[in-house]
Amino acid sequence: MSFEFFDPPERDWIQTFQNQGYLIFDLEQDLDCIDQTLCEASARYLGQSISPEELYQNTPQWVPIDQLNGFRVALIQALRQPKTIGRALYGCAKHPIHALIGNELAMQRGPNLSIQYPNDPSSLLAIHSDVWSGNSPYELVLWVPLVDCYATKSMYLLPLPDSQSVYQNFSHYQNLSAEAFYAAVADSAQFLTIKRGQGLLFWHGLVHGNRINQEAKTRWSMNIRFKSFLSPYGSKELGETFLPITIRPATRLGYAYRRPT
Amino acid sequence: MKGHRGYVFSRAMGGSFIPQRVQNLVLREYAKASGLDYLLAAVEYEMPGCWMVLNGLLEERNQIDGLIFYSSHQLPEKRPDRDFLYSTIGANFNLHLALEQLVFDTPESCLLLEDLIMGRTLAGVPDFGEEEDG
Repeated sequence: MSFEFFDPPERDWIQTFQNQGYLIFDLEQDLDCIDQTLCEASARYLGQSISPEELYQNTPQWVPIDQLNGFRVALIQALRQPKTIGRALYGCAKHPIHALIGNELAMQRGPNLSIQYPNDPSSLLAIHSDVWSGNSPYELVLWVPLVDCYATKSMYLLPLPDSQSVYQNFSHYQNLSAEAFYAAVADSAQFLTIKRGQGLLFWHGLVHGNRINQEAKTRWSMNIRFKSFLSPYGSKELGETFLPITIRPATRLGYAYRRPT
Repeated sequence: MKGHRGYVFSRAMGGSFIPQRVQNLVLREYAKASGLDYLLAAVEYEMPGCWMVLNGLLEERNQIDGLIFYSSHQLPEKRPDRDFLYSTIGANFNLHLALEQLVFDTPESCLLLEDLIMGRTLAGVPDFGEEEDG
């Protein structure tokens, strides 16, 4: 691939992403808006105010595990604000997104929120690729940790060469259980170290998932998908799952063009 | 409250055939979750390009509060037909898309639908070619 038209840091981001299928980068904006939204929603749920530090670091003391799902649903509801939360997430990663996808974008309508307590087996995402369940392979996931994530407190993925190997030999795996599939590829799984203030963009064709969080503290992370507005869609459609966010005027003019008559 | 009338298809849309029973389930659930008084759905005829049932609903729009489509894939293919639909949208008659969970209550708000159609057309989604001279 020619890089003549890409300047640093775009060139470095693209090279890294092409090699491994993911990119870890420093966020371009702070997470204050997200912290505030989560704390306000938590305060409504708990009936008392709570700081971001207290919320993120001592979550199990505030929300018993049997109430975690309802708590998470209440927070996800509060996060479904495209004009504030959507803009904040886009703003965190605007230039890396432009480098890897382009600048004419569709964004998933609502972000996902993961709260994974230590030793909690109920919040697991089994090994998978999102493309296998209907997402377009033209999408990337923006994954933003709200706390420092590492080892089993983080997600794992198989970097691009290892994921491609799985694709090429999938007949070896296709009749296994998810757990047996993970065991078969576990040596290739990389648990990503991503600090708060950093973000991850990854191709969700990569094989990925999470395991029981065996670290001392709770994982808090958000994720949302971006794709080129003009690239093919999967069964997660434009309108139902994605909305356009940055349509460019040349596209509007071109689309509206009619041959002179 | 006069209620919102459902609108379902008996033909394929967006490259898929969705059973009317499934469309009706989605509409009823959406209306319930949105606090809308739901009026039983009208079924568009199966002939391609036929909008007779939708046209009838629009003629009777002063008797209902709005329409609930199953999805944006039920919008008429021709731009003038969509423009007429958009022109009927206002304070007393709105348009809901159950699958997308989108509400349109002004003609201007409907421009998002044109953006969706543009994206689908350019990205090659089945059955979403804008008709020339439409």
